[in-house]
Amino acid sequence: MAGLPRRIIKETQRLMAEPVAGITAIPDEQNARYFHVVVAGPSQSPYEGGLFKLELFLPEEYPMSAPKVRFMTKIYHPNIDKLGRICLDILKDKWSPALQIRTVLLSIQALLSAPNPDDPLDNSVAEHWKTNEKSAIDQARQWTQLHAKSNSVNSH
Amino acid sequence: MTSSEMSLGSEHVQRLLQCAVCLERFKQPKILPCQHTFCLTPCLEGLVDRRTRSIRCPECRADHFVPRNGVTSFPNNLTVIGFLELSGSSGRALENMSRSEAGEVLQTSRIRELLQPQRASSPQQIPQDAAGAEGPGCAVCRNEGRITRCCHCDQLVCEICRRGHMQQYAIIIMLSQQVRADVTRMISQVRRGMPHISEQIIAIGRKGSQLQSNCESVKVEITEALEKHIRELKIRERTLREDVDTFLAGELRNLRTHQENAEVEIASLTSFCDTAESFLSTGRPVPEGDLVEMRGQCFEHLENVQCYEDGTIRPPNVKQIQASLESPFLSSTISNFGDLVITTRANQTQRHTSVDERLEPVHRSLTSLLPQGNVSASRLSDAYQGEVRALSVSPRSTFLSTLMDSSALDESSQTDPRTLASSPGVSQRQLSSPNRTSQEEEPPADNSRWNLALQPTHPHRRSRYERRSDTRITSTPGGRLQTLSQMRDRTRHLSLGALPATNEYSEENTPERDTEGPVGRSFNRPATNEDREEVSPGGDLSVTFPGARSYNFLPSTLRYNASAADAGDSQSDPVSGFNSNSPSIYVNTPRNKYNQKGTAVVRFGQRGNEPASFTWPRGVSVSPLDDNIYVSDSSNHRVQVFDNSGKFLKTFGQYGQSEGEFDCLAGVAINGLGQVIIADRYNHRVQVFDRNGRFQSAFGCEGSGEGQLNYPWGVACDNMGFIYVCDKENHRIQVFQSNGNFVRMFGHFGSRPGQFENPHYIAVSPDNKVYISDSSNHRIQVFSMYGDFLFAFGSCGVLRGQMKFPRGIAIDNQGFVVVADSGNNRIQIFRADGRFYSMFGSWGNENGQFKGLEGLTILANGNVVVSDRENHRIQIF
Repeated sequence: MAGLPRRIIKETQRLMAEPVAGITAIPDEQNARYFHVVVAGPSQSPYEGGLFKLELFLPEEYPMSAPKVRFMTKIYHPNIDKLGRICLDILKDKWSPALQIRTVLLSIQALLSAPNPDDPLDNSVAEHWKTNEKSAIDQARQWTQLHAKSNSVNSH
Repeated sequence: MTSSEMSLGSEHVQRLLQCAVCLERFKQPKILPCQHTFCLTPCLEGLVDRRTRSIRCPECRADHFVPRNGVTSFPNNLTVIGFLELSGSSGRALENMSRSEAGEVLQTSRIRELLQPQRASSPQQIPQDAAGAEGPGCAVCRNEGRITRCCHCDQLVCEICRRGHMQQYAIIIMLSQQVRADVTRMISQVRRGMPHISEQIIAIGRKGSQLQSNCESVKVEITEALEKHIRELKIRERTLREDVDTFLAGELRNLRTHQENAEVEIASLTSFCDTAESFLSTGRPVPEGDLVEMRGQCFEHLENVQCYEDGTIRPPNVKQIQASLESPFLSSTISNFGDLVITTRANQTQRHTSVDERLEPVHRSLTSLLPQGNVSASRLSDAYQGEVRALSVSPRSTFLSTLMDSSALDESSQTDPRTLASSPGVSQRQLSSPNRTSQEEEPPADNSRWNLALQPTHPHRRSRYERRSDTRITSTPGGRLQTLSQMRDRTRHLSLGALPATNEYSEENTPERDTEGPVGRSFNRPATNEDREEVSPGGDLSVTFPGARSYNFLPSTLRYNASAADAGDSQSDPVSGFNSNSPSIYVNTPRNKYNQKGTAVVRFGQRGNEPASFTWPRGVSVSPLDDNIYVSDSSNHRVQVFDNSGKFLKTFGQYGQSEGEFDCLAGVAINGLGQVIIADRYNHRVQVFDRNGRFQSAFGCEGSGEGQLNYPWGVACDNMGFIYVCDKENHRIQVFQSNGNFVRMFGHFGSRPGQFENPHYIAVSPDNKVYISDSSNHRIQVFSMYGDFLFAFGSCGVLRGQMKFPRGIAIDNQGFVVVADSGNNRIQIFRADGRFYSMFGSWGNENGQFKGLEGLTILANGNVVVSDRENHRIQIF
């Protein structure tokens, strides 16, 4: 089994068999390392009710290096930039091979609940968040309405 | 316990047996120091950061140092291995176990049913499911609904489960395609990688041609340099010949002048005589005045002639010219002209060229003298084994005598001692490489050796190297030391005659008080280089050996003499009997200035299992080759190596019972070849490692017979390479050959002289007296190398010279004995005969304080390395 590590197979199986609440991850039909992910916006957050589409790719070195995850759905969040790139330590220097796709996606979900404007990726959003949190949260809610309602996910 | 709990339990166990990285059942589970367990390959191996040699635990992100032999050195998780074996037969054993535990007998199929949901989620068990699904029901849910056969795997699946089943298989098929693609890709990767190897081949070829061109250019250089000198000689020849010609011409002109003058004289005399005669013979009367005048003229001429006759006027002296062309110095310079330096030492060569050109040959011959001197010395040791008489002659090698030319000697004494010191050091290093390769036939491992293999080797130099390497190997340093000290002793004896046999001095003797009387002074003073040179005609030898060992030569004699005269009971010492009648020479003041010690110059280590941390450091030892400090890090089951300033260099060993593994190691010793000898305490054996930390051999096993050990503690080596082991729980000392063959043992339990109670550490003085810290008897005992009791010193107490549970012991090159007085948390220094000299240290964790002492050793510069056990650190004083 030199090609696709058994670990990826196992993780895929488990994701299918025991899905995480609010998260679906389905492997691409052509590429088993590429996953179509949908994360539901956590309740009591400006993203509540939104369904956010992400792409997740397991690089060659996985699990020794972190999966690459990107938001496909536009989202107003201080740690996520316009291109959907995520500023999350476990995706970078804090990656550990003991983490899995499941845990990564849960972390991303948690990041939606707890934005961290002090460690921003998108400076303007973070600035907005720090100067006027209420207005920023409103903006995030609007964007969720606009981009992350189920019809837009389907049409994307 | 209900059956569902049981199945859950086994499922949990299966989870626990799963590696968090590969999500498989553990294969070779290794436990990290943070207690997390992972498979050896590929999980742990893939995690190693090769640059920093560290590994970060995937679970807790703790960083761990990767042992020398890689992640394999991490201990196996024996618990997990046990569980893996238990549940090895596809979980059946575990099921059986839980069933019997529950006390109820269940149908296997029932358990299967209960396990089913979990199994379905576990893809590795799909084939097992397929194999096990013999019944008519659905293979997934066991329901007997509308069953169809899966077209992929011939499994019977019901309508409801079909979708999930097919999805799984879709993935699996997709994955196998992926595998194909991966294999293809990796093959192409391999192909892509192959050019690197061919590049390597080309690079090696290039290096070969570089080497050739290097040699060619060196040859051309040699020719050019020599041609330059030949040209200079030609010019000199012409000048000299021209000078001779000029001289000849001048002298000839001078002679011709004289000749002409004489001829003129003769002519004038002849004409006068002729004129006068003809004048007289005419017969005509001559006027009176004319005759008188003629007579006067005759007188004058007679005087002139008489001058010639009696030698007042002589033919001019002919000057002789001689060419002094004999110059022994020049010929020796020519015969030693030039030097081939193998390693790249740009600065050294520059120094040569900067020197006045006339002196250059002297420098060169000096540098070549240095290694040559070594040869003569090791020749000494060879000679010693055969013929002692020849000793005093052999150091005066022809090579030395050619350089006895005063200018050469001046040069040698004026040269910066550091240059002298470094030169043999450098050559030593150069030499050690061919030496190692030839002796051990290792593949080239480090850079220097690689360089050496590539560098040109002059045939003449080469042979010299080989000669040296041979002597280095065959003669242990001890042999050399002994002979030298002996020789030195002889020379002293001859040149200085008898000295007072006794000398009184008090314990507090200071350098100032030592200088009593002119004779005493020159001997009591700490021996310096000047002393050596002025005392012994072989003084130039000590200049030749400024390397790490040189300090051993003179002091060993001094120390011996001190003990021979002072310690009455060693008068008949069989070991050094040759010295027993020689004049006594005292060393009152150690060069190591023990009375000024007490503040650590270097401290390192704290409790921990990281590199450079310790958990109860015990034995310490210094390598005579490179002055590195070896610390046995007892409860981390490893040896750590530091340089003499405390910088961490490497570590080797881990917990275990197999070769190269330790269980609470204690003493460590290093012999003249750099081999590391370690007392592997709880394994009741001694292990020998080479200088690079590779396991070489082990000997001993638990027991009380010959060659058997019971918690061996301290180890030591003498000059001949014999290994002395403190067999602590057998209360005796055992001696082994360096290959582990039992030689002898001495001592048994007791408190009388020659008996031991828990001997801990041991040290052998350069004259082969064995000093043992007889710990539970609170004393130090001294034996001859044959195990004959000589004397003992120390008793239980806190006063000066008393001790409690002494442990580490070391002997400096002047014979001063340094004892780690563990119970009193201090270091005591004794003279060779056991009289107290000084002490320092107290209880605590500050600088210069100790909490429980273990081994100690002495660096080449005289600093004392102390293992401060409960503070988990090393202090250097």
